[in-house]
Amino acid sequence: MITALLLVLGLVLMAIGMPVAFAIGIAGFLYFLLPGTFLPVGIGPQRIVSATQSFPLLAVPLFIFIGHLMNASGITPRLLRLSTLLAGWMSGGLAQASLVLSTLMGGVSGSAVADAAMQSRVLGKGMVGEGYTPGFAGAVLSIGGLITATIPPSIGLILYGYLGEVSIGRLFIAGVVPGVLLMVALMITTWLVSRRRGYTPVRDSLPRFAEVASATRSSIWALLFPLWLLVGIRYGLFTPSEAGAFAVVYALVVGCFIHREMGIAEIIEAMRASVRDIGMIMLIIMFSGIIGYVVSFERVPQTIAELTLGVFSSQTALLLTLAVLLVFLGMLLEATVVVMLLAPILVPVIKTAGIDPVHFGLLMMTLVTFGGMTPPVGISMYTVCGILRCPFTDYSRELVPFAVAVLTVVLGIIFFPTIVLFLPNMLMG
Amino acid sequence: MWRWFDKLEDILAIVLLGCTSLTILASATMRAIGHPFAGGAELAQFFFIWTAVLGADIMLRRGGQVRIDALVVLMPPRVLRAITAVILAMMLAFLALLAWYGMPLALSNWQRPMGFAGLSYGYVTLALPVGAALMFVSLLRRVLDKGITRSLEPDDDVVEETL
Repeated sequence: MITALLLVLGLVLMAIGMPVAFAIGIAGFLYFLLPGTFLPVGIGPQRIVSATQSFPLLAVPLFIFIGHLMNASGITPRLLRLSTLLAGWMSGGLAQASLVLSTLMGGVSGSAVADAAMQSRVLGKGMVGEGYTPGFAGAVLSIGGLITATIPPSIGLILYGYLGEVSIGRLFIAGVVPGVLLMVALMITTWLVSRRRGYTPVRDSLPRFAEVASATRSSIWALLFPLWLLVGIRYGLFTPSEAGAFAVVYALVVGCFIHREMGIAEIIEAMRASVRDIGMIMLIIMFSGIIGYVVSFERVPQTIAELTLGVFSSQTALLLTLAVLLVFLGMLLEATVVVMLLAPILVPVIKTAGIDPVHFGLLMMTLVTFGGMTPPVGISMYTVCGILRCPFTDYSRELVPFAVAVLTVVLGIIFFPTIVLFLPNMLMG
Repeated sequence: MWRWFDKLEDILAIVLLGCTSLTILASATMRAIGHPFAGGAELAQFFFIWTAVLGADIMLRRGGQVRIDALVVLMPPRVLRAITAVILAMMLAFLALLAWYGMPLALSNWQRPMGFAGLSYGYVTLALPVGAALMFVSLLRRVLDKGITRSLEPDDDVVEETL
């Protein structure tokens, strides 16, 4: 009961404009100051410190760093050339190319917002020049980030794995198929909309094999990266955190010696940007350490598990209900916050119900990341609309068909767990 | 004076991020060739918490910590000013409490070794009170520079990137 009140207080503080990290931190800390609490106040700071002292969590700063390094290493323009070749001949060619680019970028970057921001800068103007409405361009660019965030590596899945004590390697491998499905669903949607509106291809003909081969060869280092990552994690050559460290070296070698586009100045710029991203995301993670402790101290997961197990007769019904909850929370809150607050509560609940936590992890991350692309609150939406200068109303209207496509894939994931689970089960036993 | 301070903080944070990556790399390489060295993970976590608190302070100083402004933009200026003042007071009080309660925690951990010789767990716990104090100062500076209402708004060149 007290926990629920504290959570509500946190939400109210967020709503009136307090930075979200502080809102959760203050709500959690208040628990120790309440007269009825017999715990020493010193536990609060202790939980904040111990929230950072986890080896799996070290993958987060590393993969943020890698994302910035890869962007500076000359991989992006090469992948863009390949994507335009592969998808430019379809209706709405530039939009299709952007979705393919999101998929390819997914293999080197783990952040939806970073992908959406990068693509808006690179492709946004071109799309409006092709006659797309700014709202449509914004919707495609922002929703593409969902593919990037689902395909491994994925910062969201690292966080979920760390909080829910789920194998990050399994989560990564499980992300491949849903990521590709999302790409297909979004490309079909783009094709339908583009044909009705007469958005044209950017290429007259199908790509020739030789062209594709040459573009593939030039971006081979980016394309091999996720393969190398998954193989390494699968065979236990390295843990996800160690993979992050090797990947930093990989990005440096590709950028400095193979593409020769990166020097000391670019590396320092990438580090500067990474430090800021890390500072922001880690402050949320650290400050939610307090409320996470309160939640488990008050036995909230156990209580919720007992309550829900009586109510829901089937796993599907439970997943559907949780999906609706996650969509709404994802729309209102920032993705990191939802994961930090709910993963520790929900993972024990779904485990008790006999649901594979890997299956639920993909579902949860897809929905909360998608929430960042929808109004009223969405970091991806703010970012893309800010760069393209398109009004939120146009953006939201154009987002509807894409939202339908995403939710269709999500329903598929709920009803057919095999879609998510067969690859990790086959590869990791 | 503050410019030098900010520059130093920027450089230190970048160096710490480099150290975090290098330590993990070194410990992973040693493990891969069959000579794991003790304490690599702890050392990396030590660098990491300091990277994180400095990064958090840099972000706060630039108004870049994520916040939800959907309701805020609808408020009349006077209401907004009053509410923001309350929010700032709460944030400052929270940071002060963290520094206050974090310090004895760090001191009490001074005797606790971190699994390998030389480095005490106190250096890890010290990051919190120091970080909280830095953020307290940064927040005050923001209020003095930008006024109450604009203190939490991002500078123009800040792009938020999260999940």
